[in-house]
Amino acid sequence: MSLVVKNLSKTYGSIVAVNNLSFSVDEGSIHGLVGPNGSGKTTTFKSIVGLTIPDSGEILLDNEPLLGRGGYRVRGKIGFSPETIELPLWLTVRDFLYLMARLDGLVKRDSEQLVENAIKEFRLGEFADTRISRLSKGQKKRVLIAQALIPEKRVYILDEPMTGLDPEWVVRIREILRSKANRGSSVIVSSHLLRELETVIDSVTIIKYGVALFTGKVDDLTSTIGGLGVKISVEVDNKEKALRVLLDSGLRRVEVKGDSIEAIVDSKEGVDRVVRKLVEAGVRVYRVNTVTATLEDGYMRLLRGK
Amino acid sequence: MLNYSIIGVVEYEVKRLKYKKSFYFMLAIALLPFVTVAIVKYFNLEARGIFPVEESTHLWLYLYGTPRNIGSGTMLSATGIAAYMWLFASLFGGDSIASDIEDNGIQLILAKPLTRIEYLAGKTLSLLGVFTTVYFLGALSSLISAYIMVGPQAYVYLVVILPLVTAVSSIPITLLSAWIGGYTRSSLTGLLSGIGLYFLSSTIAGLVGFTGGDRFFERIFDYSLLDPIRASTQISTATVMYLTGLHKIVFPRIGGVHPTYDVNKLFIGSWLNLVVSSVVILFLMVKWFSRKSF
Repeated sequence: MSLVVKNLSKTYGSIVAVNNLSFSVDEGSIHGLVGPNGSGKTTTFKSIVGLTIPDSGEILLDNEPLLGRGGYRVRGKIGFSPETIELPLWLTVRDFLYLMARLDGLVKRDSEQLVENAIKEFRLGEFADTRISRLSKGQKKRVLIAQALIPEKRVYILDEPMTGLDPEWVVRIREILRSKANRGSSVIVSSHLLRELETVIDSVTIIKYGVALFTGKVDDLTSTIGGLGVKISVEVDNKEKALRVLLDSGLRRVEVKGDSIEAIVDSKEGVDRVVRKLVEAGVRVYRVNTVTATLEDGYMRLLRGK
Repeated sequence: MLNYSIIGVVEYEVKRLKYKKSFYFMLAIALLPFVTVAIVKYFNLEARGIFPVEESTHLWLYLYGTPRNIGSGTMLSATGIAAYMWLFASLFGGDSIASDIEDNGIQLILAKPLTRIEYLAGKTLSLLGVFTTVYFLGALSSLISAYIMVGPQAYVYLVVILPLVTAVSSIPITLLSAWIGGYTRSSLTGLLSGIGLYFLSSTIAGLVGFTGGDRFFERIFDYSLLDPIRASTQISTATVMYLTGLHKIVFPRIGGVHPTYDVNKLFIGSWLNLVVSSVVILFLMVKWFSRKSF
């Protein structure tokens, strides 16, 4: 494990932002942190990068503690892009990237080299010497992500990186994140654009009210719809009879959708049992599909189901 | 101790100040003595007896804003850059943390591998550096202007010492303004608090002075030694008096006794106040800042 968050809790007055949250991110993988607004994603990120001091819990990066004395040195292994696109508007893009590199503890020459790399990789050349105040929202976002991604780090944390970017840059950022992961770094991303996020992440933690509802591989979530079961779609000769059989069998979320009936079965093994019951009841089954759930399906089911 | 991260914060802060209008305002005040020269020469004030002041060989000290003696060119010294130390300390201090919060720079800076104490140290060092540089320009322009107006000047070595003294003396007001600005997340509140504290302490010092009757000035000075704001605004003057061998100030009184005041007491007291108040304010500020969420 590259990054481990254990029993993290943080309250602001009477508001519980994060409640006993635990998850881990494998080396070389991209992890999604998703949840509704105010679910504690940003507080979790801020706790990892030292902007917020949690009430309790532990955060380890390569087995080294990030919290407490000495944690700030370990933080040097993290590249961070916050959610907001508010930036020091008085700086030029070049000056901003240079100062961020200097704050990373790099010497002048290395910082300058890093700036050139950032300008090249993020195609910032045409406005490198322009003040940030004159950039568009999308351009600012690129600059913000560039300062986090350009230095070589063990972990990259990006809070809502896709928001405000045009489709070309969404794809480009996705490619950059994948190449970082392929080189052994870990990436944690939060986003409300779940379809977009699903194309890039390997694992996910879904949180609500600061509590983890699910943490694990995306495949585990989508194949069981967040642990709630397997979604099936059956086409039969007698829908009314089939509906009765399925409801009597105790299946959940049984719905007629066009020519087929959809329902949630507890497990993959349960699918055979359902088909057998339908056949025994004299229903002719034309087709059975297990519907592959998306991250969005899993997310919605989890949020509504628990 | 002075690592690359602190240097990074210093670079960041200096670059930020370069874009601020208040920096150029301070620079203009530093070069104001040249305007005085132009006025004196243009209106030929020397021939009309307005110049030189009583102590013409010390004129540059008055132009810098540090009157060497009470009642002698004190009006002139009110235009000197050192007399506005409290204003610049409030302007730059009030803005230093608040502006990073306002433009979100603080999230990017504190996520870097540096401690919050290193951040505060970088901020303080950069402000001290900028203050010293501009005060040095102010001292230099005062010296050159005085030379043009009245000829050779005494205590030239103070051109190097005074700017540093003025910069260091601004620490309590700078820190207080920075703290209040950061706490309220507003540069304007930080600035107004610094200025407000200065005027409040001046008013209190004046009221305390009135209760002293004939000993009005002595009461003000005695009281000032207990007040970090007042004490810090008179350190430059106290240091000039002390280093130029003026150990007693005689307060002029019309038709009465001329009370004297011990400069050594003012010099030692105000420096002691500076050290103690700076340490206390810094301690409380670090305690607040190290637990703050951004």
